[in-house]
Amino acid sequence: MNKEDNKDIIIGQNITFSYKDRIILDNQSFSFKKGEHIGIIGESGSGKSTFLKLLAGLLSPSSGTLSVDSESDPTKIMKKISMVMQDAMIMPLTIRENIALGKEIKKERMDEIIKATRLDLWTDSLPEGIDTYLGERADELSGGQAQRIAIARAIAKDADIILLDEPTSSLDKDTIKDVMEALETLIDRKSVIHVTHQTDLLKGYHRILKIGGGRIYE
Amino acid sequence: MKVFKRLIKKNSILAVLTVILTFLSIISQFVWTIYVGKIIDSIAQREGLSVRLLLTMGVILLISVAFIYSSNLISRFTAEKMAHTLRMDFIKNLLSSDGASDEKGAFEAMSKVQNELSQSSEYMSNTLFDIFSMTISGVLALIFLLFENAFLTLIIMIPMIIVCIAGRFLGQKINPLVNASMNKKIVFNKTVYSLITGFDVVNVFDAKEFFKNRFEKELNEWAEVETKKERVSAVCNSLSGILSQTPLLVLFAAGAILIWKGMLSLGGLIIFLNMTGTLLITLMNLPSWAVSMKSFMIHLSRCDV
Repeated sequence: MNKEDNKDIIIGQNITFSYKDRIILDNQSFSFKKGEHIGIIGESGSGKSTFLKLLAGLLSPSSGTLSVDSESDPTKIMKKISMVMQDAMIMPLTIRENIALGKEIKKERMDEIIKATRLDLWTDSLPEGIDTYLGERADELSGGQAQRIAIARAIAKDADIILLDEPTSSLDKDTIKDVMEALETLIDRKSVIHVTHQTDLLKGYHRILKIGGGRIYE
Repeated sequence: MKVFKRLIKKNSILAVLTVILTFLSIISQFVWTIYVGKIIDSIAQREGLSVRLLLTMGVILLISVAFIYSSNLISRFTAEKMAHTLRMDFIKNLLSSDGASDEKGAFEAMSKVQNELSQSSEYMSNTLFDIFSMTISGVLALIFLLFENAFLTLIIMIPMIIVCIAGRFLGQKINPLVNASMNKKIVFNKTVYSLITGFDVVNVFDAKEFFKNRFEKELNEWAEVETKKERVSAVCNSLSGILSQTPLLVLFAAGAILIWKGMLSLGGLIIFLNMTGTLLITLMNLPSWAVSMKSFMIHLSRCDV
């Protein structure tokens, strides 16, 4: 983290937030600095993923204020963040379309993304390369391939804030290693909030916070 | 076929009873048709209707109704008993094999319960004996007509065969369009499913407009194929509608000539009209029945764990 980037990029003030009759945050305040890598841990069902959705603007707090890169409007917050979820959400589209999701991406940039996520090892073997339609084959993708596409999608968005929701939880050890390498490219010089129960993946992170009992604490 | 034979064997009395009652109900209907022909002949020859003829017809009508009722009842009961046997055999096989010992085996077994068993049972209850009954009707009608007037039967068989071939040909024209329409529908259903399950991704990656356009494109493509299918289908149905009248026209033409020459009575023509309809239905439906029987046999064979 650069010293000049020492400003708070995410600020939550007196946030109370319930989800499905469960209190996730009870009047909690927190702040994350630009370029900071934060790990979020907690028991199963403690609300880690829900907290991430709150930060992404997908859910709204019951009370309190949330500001992400000086924005508090959820629609604008969403534009500031990129997210990789536990489920890669591969759509019935081509690999290229799954990455771009309707955005214009230049060929050179797409090639960079494909290489960075090591998707080229797979797509080069396909007759239609990254223009292979995944409609019928989406279910046949390995967990690693699907997550690489999700990571490529996040890299393509090029947002300053990256939210990771257990992106490797359903993968085996070897695939986790490969996917983590792809993630390194994504999170380099970005602000990262990584929810996981695999604490070994959070080595080198600036802070590790815990969620539970309506609190978020170090 | 192995499973089907086993089901028949285990319910042999009911199966034999169903066959006998089906035969009897069809024959009683044929006898009824013959007597209708006799009444028409009597009217045409300006003869009075005898009390004996009317009483006989009343008895035939009652017998016919009794046979139709009992054959329907027994065939449904047999179908249910066979479906019951199928389910019980499945459970017995499952418990005696190690198929359910691992998770994959259990999943496959569950899949069979949900798909093959229900499809097979449904087919037995709703379709099997109806097809059996209509096939027997067609065969008996053909035999009866050949005995009644072989020349007229062979004359009307020619357009019937042409109608069957045309039906098959026209069906082949529609099949690819039906498949294309279904595939397009699957694609846009998948897009909707993706939108629902991946709504967060769509929001975060600001892809609402992209998916809206995508969905519209897929919907339009489906509508285009569906319209083409309906257009071809309408043409095919009109052609097949006209073609299906051909045997009737041939029957009228040939029948009229035979009546003028005194080789056929008006009652005989009425019998032909009635029986030809039965035969035509059987002939036209035979290909689709054969396909449905084939898929039924496949479902049955997959019920063996």
